[in-house]
Amino acid sequence: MIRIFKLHMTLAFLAVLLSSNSFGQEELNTIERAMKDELSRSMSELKSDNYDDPFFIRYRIRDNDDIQIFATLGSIQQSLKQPYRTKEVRVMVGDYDFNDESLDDNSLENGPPSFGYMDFSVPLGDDYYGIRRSLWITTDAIYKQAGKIYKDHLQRLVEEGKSAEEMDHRSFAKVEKSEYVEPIQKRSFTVSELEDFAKRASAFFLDYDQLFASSVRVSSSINTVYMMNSEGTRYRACTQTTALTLSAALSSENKGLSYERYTYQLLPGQQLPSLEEVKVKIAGLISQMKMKDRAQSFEDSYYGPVLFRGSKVPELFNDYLINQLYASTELGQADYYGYGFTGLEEKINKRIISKTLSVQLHTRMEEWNGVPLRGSYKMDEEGVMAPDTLLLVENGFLRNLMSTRTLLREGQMANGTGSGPGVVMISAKKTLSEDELKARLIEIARENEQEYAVIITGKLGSERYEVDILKVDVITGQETLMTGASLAKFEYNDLIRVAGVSTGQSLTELDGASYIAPDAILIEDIGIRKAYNRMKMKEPVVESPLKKAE
Amino acid sequence: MALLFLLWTSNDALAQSDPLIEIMSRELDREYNVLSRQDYPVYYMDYQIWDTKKLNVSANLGSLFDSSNSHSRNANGQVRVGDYQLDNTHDLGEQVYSGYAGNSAMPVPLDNNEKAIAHYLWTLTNLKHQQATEEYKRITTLKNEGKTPDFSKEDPSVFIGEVKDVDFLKRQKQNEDLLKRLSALFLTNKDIASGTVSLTRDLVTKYFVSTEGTKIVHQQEYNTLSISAQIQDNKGVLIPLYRTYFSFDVNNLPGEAELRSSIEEMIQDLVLLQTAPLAEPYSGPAILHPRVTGVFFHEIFGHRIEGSRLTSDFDSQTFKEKVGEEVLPKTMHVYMDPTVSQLNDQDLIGHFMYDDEGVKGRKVTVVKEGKLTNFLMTRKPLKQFTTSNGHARSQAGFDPVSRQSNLIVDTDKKLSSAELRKQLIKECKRQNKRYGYYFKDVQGGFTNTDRFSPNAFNIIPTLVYRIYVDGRPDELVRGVDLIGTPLSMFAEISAAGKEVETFNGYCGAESGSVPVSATAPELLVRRIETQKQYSYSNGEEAPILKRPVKQ
Repeated sequence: MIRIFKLHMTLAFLAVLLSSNSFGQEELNTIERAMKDELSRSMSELKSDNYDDPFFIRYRIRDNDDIQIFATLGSIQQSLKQPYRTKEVRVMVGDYDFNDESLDDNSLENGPPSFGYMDFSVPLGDDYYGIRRSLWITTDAIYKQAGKIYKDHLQRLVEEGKSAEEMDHRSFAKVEKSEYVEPIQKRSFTVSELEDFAKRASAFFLDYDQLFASSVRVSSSINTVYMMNSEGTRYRACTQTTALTLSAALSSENKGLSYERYTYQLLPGQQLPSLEEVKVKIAGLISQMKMKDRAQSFEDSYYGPVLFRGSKVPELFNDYLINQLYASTELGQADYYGYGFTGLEEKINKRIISKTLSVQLHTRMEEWNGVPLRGSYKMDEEGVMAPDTLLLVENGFLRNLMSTRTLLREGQMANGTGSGPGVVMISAKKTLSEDELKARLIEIARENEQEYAVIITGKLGSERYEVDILKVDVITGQETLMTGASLAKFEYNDLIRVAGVSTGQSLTELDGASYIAPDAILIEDIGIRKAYNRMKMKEPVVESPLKKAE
Repeated sequence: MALLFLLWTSNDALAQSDPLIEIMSRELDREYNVLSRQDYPVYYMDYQIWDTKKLNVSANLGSLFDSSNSHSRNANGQVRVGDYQLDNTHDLGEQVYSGYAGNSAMPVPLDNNEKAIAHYLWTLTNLKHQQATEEYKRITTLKNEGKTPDFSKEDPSVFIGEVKDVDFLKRQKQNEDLLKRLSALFLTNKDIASGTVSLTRDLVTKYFVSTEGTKIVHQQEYNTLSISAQIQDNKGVLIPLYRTYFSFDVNNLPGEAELRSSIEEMIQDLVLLQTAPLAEPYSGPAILHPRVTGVFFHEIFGHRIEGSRLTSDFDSQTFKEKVGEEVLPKTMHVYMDPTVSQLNDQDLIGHFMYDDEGVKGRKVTVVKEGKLTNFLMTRKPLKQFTTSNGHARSQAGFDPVSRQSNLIVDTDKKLSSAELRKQLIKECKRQNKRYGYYFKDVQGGFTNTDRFSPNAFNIIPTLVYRIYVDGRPDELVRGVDLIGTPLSMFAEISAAGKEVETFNGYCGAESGSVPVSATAPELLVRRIETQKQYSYSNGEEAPILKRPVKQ
């Protein structure tokens, strides 16, 4: 989870970004030639007397080149460079309306769970025949299974004496041929530059002899996704991510082991932060840990109004609402354990959260307030163009769900969200200033005859499931930091009890999506409890070797 | 059997010192100085750091799938509270089965940055010391003092060997191209589903320092070239074959020409296996090829003489009370010898100078003239054996337990292969069998030694022949595993051959994966048992389209 307050962009980066999402013909590279030729051969020649011909084949290859560097106290601990490729093959038999995926709950995206022991991964390098062989063997296995399953589906129609229209079934959305090609990116930093940065940055921790452990982790990845399908669609998206994470662990008899971390997420073209900036950030991290170590632990059980601030706001939406807003691809109702059906289809045009809130996707939006949005995309990995806007929740009412090409409901359409929500905008009809929100928080707590109210404030790097809270005295308004609390239980419909939303908004990058969300949100009747105990540690008997001689 | 002992001697360019071992020593002294004076005093500490450089290159059917290298350092160590007689590791006989202890290795900085390394060792010590003190307090409360000490006293060893650096990347492109070329040979047969050639190189430098004065720096290089392939029969059943080459010196691995002919032989064998009949379960006489004998002894015998198992009430302790008893024919002897690095021109992967408790590896005569004489010992004593014989072993980060090294089976009475064959046929006739079996090659095996499951072993052969008593040609069959239980199988060994070979491999158990070898002669067993082998099937239908291959 990354919250971006400020980014320094170079002009060079902007130029790359603007030209990158270009449409039009671009020469196929070896991977694409292999995909295209094997796809073409399979569509024209993959036939069997035992099964119907495939009507749709899609290949997706992910070409990954990852660097992971760990450093501590001025030394490299690990430096790994690992290129690897994976594939996803979809072969469908039947037609768009009724096919091998229509009735069974087999894995839709990657074919049936087991597609043969002869299967092997996608080779490295410009290996045209090797890549074709990898696609060939999987295509063959999935086609045969799809052919058998389709036969079974037809037989079920006969046995039940129904037409396909009379049975609940999945259909597959037709999509026009299109092309989306991004250029392959070059890595912004060499391995030695990243190693050097990690070493120097980690050396700043040498000044803090009370730390139990510390590290600097540098992750740098270039991931290119290639997709081609038998409808003629070609897709190539290339992303480069570089993340620098500063972590420290403090051990105290009182609190046990506590961790803090801070992550810089760099966009392609963006410079590494200066070492001076890192030094200041580490100092801040340590003083935050010390402050938390001095803070009291939350031992109470609280039920009342909670003001969520900072990144906790998008986290709430991401964890509890957005993940529910995918159209189900499962047939029938939920099973005994509640799996298999989200149930939100039935809530379309019904109220699901507070009337003040709306949730809209702006997946194609490239920047917000001059800051590039990482979640943005133009076409999803299924080859469907992403929408300019998609209204999911309007004033508390559910209007739409994110839908892949697998369709279940009448009137449902693939809406270009197959690669996730992209850019999520959370807005409110009526907003308050931060001071007004705090006043409202205290007011509700007083109405409930509570001695204190609670603010949960998002801090970069804090543990997601153990939160620090600010205990707010309802008489004086004084805020006291407490550690070791956690949300007792939260579900999306708790967002019905929203009592106020801030006017200010911020951008947070979270789980691959960009959230533009209010800075704070006040919700009534939220439970807070003590978090599970941390690992207890005694004070070391021997003093740290980092301790300087007196 | 010609034993070629290649021992490290003073010629091994004993270095005066090593920067990493000195950093470790200084931190050990600093910690021990304080911890040994606590209310619950630490009486022993050690630190181990394993520095591993690794190269993996792997190609399948002409395509490259892996070409990676890494450098890592992992630290582990012991902190013992109490004294040699009773310490925090004392077994209270509690019915708690821990199984695999897991890997507790901590990543250590790759350069010799004293502050960073000392800080890591300090963190490790801190964790271990807290655990050890709490455990010792609990043990002394229960006052469960046994007669056998918890930790043996051993003479300290000092050995600072030469540490060299090897540039694994130097020939990476050539290695990639070679493996692609070799694995592409398997493309010549359309039914071969996979044909992988892999090169793994490990340069392992072990650093060990203890409060008893032991200080060891020892480096070993492991180079393994392995070939594996699978052919599909007309029912889609995949039939595998494997070949592995090991050497401490990469230059001694086979060259391209030899590997090509090896692969061509494998392809021929795979083609024969493709149509070979599936064998039914069988009980009767068999000859085991030396490599099969090696795996057979490793499983049915080797694991049961590992001393650490004999301290556990969960282990079946097959041989615990059999010291001095005859367990094998009088003509047979079994040794476990980590000091041998080469035998019959073959490098032995189980060679080491010092074990992972810093004790010098020693040759152990386990069976002499058929009688059990000893076990593989760590510093955890048994009632009868109170000192270590240098067989404490582990994977990096695991706590060491007694494990095998180089298993060597020897016999006084050596028959030729033809004589063994004659005896097999005679025995078949006596048992009224139409044929006996010849197990020619093997993939590996496994066994259970605990009390929760049958104490059986399973050897997984890859090349098995029927030898008919009526003189017809030997018949290749497939689909059988060699199974049995240890004591009954030992009783059936009737003769051994002149031909000797070595199986080099990795053995997985409680302390992780460790390199081991087994060198043995051909063996005639009066009665073995087989069961049907589990096989992976790809379905009866062959691929519809032809495999894409460059024309």
